[in-house]
Amino acid sequence: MSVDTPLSSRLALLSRQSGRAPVSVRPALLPTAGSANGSANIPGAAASGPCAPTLAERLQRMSLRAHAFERPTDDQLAERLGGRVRAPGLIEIECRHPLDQPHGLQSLASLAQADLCWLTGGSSAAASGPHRSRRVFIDTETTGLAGGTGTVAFLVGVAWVAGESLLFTQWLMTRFAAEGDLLDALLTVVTPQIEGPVEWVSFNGKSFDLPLLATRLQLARRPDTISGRPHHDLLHPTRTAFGRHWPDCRLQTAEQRLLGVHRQDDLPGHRIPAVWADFVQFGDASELAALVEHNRIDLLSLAALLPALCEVYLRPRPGDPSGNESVDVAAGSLRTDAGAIARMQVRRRRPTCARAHLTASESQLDASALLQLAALHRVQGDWQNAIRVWQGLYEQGSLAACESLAKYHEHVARDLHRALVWCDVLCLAVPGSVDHQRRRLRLLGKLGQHAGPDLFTTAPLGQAAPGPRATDPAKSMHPAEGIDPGNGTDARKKRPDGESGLTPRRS
Amino acid sequence: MTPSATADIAAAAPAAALAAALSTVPVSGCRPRDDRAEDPAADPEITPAARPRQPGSLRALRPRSRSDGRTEPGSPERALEPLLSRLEQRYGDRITAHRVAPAREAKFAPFPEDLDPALRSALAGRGIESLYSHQRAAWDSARTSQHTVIVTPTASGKTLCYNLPALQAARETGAKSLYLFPTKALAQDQVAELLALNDAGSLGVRAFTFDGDTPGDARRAIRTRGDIVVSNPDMLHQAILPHHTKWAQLFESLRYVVIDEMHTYRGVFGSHVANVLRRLQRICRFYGARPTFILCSATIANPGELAERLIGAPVNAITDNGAPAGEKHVLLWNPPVINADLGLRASSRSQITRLARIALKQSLSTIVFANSRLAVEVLTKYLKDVFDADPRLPTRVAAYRGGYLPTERREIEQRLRAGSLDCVVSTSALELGVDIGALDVCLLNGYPGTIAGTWQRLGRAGRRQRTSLGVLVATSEPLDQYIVRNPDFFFGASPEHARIDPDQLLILMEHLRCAAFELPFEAGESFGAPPLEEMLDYLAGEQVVHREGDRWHWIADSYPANTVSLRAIAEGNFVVIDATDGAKNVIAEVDWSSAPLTLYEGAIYMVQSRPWQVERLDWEGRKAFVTRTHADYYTDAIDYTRLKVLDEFEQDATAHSVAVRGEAHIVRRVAGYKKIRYYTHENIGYGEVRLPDHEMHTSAVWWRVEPRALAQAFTRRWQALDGFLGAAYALHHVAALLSMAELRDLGRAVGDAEGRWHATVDADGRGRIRSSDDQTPAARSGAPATAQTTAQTTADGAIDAGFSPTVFLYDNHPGGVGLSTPLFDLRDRVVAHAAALVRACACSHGCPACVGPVLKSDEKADRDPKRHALTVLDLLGAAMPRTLDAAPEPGTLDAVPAQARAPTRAAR
Repeated sequence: MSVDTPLSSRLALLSRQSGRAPVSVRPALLPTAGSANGSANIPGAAASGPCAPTLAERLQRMSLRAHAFERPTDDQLAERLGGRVRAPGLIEIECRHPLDQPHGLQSLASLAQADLCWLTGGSSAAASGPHRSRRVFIDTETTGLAGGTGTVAFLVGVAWVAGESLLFTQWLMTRFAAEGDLLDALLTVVTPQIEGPVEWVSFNGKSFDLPLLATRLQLARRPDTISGRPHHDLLHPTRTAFGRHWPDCRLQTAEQRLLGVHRQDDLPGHRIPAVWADFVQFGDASELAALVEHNRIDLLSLAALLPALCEVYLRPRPGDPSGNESVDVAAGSLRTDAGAIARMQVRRRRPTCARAHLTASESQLDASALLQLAALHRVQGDWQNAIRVWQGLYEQGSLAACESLAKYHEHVARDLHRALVWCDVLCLAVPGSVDHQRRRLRLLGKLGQHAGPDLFTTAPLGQAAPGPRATDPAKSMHPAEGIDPGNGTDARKKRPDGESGLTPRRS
Repeated sequence: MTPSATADIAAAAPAAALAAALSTVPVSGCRPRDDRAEDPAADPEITPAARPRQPGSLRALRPRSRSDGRTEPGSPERALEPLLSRLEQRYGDRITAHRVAPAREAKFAPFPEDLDPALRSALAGRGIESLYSHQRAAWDSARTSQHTVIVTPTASGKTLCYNLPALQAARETGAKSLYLFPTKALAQDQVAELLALNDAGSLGVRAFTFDGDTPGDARRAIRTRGDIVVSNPDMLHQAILPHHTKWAQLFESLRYVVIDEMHTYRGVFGSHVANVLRRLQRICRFYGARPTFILCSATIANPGELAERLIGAPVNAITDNGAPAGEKHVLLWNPPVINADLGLRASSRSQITRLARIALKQSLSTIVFANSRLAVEVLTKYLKDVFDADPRLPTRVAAYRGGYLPTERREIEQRLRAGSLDCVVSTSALELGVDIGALDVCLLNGYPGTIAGTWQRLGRAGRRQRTSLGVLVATSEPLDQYIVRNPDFFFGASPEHARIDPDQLLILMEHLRCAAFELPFEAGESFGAPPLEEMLDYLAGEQVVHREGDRWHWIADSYPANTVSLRAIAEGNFVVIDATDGAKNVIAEVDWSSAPLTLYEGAIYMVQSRPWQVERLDWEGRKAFVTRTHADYYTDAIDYTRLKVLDEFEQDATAHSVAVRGEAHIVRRVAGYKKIRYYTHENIGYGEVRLPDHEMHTSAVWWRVEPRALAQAFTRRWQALDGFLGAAYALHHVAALLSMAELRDLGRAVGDAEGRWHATVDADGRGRIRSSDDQTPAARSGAPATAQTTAQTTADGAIDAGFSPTVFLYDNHPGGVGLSTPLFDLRDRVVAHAAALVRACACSHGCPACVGPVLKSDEKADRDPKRHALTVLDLLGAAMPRTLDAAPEPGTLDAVPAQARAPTRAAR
């Protein structure tokens, strides 16, 4: 490549032709050797396709934009945004939101007391001890979503409860050089204070905001005192409760569906990097106020989400059987994924809470959630309800329920005949299962001791045993109906005694 | 330099010393012969087909058992001697040279005084009581913080050269090291070795691999706790550097950066890696670390220079290898002539198959190198037909190449190490230091394209101090023929220079983006040769960086490393999916650039020589769906190249011609494929291929003849075309040899400079003109012109002013990697040597060894490509008319001074 061509022209030409530029710029549009030799001195300019602007065009466009705006000074900007200049290039904006004023339909009154133990798994006593930690809501606006060291958090917003209101503090960089001051300002939040150590509350902050800030601190050679603190990322409980029913779990979705907030004239999130880049590069400050407001509402929604999610997790609500997703929040019939919530509560060792969630929306549960419910009933010793759920499941074809019933009848009710019936169903449904066959043999053995060896002809394993005992379930696959017509209260209240039902016997 | 001729001959010794050390053995063979050669069990002429293998007769055929025989000292010598004498007795006329490199004694050096006692005992635990001299030299150099490059062959204990300083540093000060290997497999090999040493001495040093397969939860531990992190340049580029803050603990105490297999970092890949290392050093500076680089390389001409260009700092080169080596025999082998008129020789494949059969029957473990994946599969099939015909027995022959799934490759490597595999047929994939244990015989199917590559492949046999045999079997390619006919050239040639161009503008700019993402640039920094501010201003123009005072900050919402691939300009691999019987199993991967040549619909795709047929190619989705088939043929793609000149940088006019260097736009297209029957190699059909063009913009050197001179020399266009195609063929091969590039790094094309038409050799071996707008042949030479064909594009037309055929040799990488400048400087010698090559060829009308294949029917049709090619070459070189006698002797290639005539720069 010739060295006398300006670097920018060489690059423009090279990158366009090497296929790195948009596909629409075909090399066929390039000048031929003749024109390159003769007329076109700057090949890049001559080769401009209709679809991709040339460097010259871009530069021109840039200079036009640069002149179109008069870059406001920090003071002017601070005034416009209702803040003050904290350090050169850094604007600090403070404002308050009274706790008695709801956000959308969600009251913030309980914000300070909201119990997070459903989320952290800790005991609720610890949360209300004398050394209560201070919850700080945090949200950042960044130059991109790519992560890594090339992404800058140019706006950091924090909020916490101060007295009777929620206090917001936002720091906005107006140039890169102010990043150190912004980070220093952030670090003051976590410096030890009388109010206790900081716990973060964020939306997706565990994987995005906090690691990014840690990276920025490292690059700015600041100590990282913000990481390693307790952190409640509300994205995860939101996803657990609503992931199956919502199209996505973004904060905006949550605030619409859970809080009933519908933003007016909001700056779309995907435009945020461009708004700040335009301001920094060309002085276009026209949308900065909207950007700051966007961040403030994010923080407010984040705060309101906390009591809202507490409601969802601690107060089971019957789901909306219609499955209508655009339900009015005020009606209190927001559809949750009770199964997922229950799993989470079981993990947190709160089976009672889990059972309450499942019971509340039992009519909408899927098979795995119902099994979980039955298991929770069983653990609590509530056999009646466990059997009810299992039998309902069996009618939907659940073999796991069938096995649970077999176990129940063998070990708890000690009704070996019924146990054998359930076991036969299993053997027929899963012919090759060694476990089921073993159970069947064991049951036959036990019955033989009680009723005498001549009562049964032993059928080959895996094949239908003779007599109605085997054919009934095989035909209908609903042994419960045929065997126990009183498949309701009676059978469940008293221990099944083998005489009351139609359990087949050959005697 | 001691005159130590070595098994790894070219390793440390310069070529001159090497040639001196190689004792020439007369072809007739006067060395004492061993009578055991007459052992009937080893008779090479009894084909297994004639003597079907029975499970019971296995023992008789193969005197040593598979598992333990390998390690018996001495037995290879016993087996090699009869093999050598038999070869010379029966095939003396095919062996054009037989040289022996004597065994070489080890040179030892004591352990360093300051070596950690625990390390010393770890070494003792591994049976190492002293160091080889080069290991000690590496220690002394690295310990004094000098960047060091060690040039040693494989199996010379080079890993200790860097493991010792790294382990010692970890134990002394907790300092960390970063190892970079070109492939994941090599990295895993090395960690296994490191861990073995670690365990032997209970050193407590933590070494981890970090690559794309590392699970997420392990990554944090590696980042914070690894003493030695083993990775590859791609991971460094895409995962480590852009997240360097997470790796702060590694960078803050980084003491050594180890770069093994340095010679693989050449061309485009090397230019990328040099820029990744620039970025690495920039990040290290940020964390206040100044790591010492330890590089290891196979033999190349310029290890020190390459190392210095890679890391951008002076490097201490250690080239004196102290490891012992066994005796090594090298044969140059030319297949017999089967048609003297056409210069046709028996195929190299038939010779390789024969040699491999002889070696395998004597239970000599054998590695066969072929130059293409297709050749690997075909050769494997031929050998499997002989040795793996009985499905009840474990296989003895396996193929190995890129594109196989990693698990399959690991299994083959493991079987080679264990000695349960007798023969492996490989592409260059096994050239690298993958540990495959000791092999006895190495067969090369064709000259690999470089001197260094040839020695590296030959070095695969004879590791671990055993006598070994290497045979280079020539194909009919001009380079091969040149080499086997001029053994002194081959044995005396210096290995190639590895060239990189870290300042290649496109590559540099891509890494400048990545670097700007990683850390803001500050005034006064530098990154590559071009002025930093100008480059950053360009990026500011793209609005990806923003200048604020004296700093440039990344401002775009993107992750630039994700869009830059170090290996190629291409965009991701194709997976080959076996859809037989509705299944969906991935059986192979094919890189983007070779997919059009191997995965077109209708292609026979082979894995371990089992054929699949490509049913459907999902170009966008990068998938090829194949089904099992039982074809008795394989397929070979027909591709051609169209080229258009974009710019001329410099030119040099001679009496009748002009040579130009400039930029060109190149379009490669796969037009169809041939079906070729196994064994007979007859062409049994064609298929069409419809695939997107592969476009590239690169630098090139081209020659065109003044129209008046052309009209005087030729009467018809087809004559000129024949001449240009033949001349291009010869020029291409000679240029590759003289500029020390690999053949595939250069491309060739014949056409006009405007891209209006280009000439191809069609399936009949005849030149034809293709118009660029219309992809059907505009005219077939010799056939009457149809109504559509214009005079412009008719091969049958007369020579006029509008007809200006041009020979192009282009840098076969997008953007070019700096091959065109040396080529332009060598232009006169390239033309002169090409003319000499054609003139000296024994054929009558042209052959694959000079101007390319010529068909028998051509003689009747009064076609003489050879004469026409010579005419063209004489026109190109007319400024300095040469006769055959005046052409430089091969051995004096490098003695010819560079051209004094200064090129004139084109008016701009």
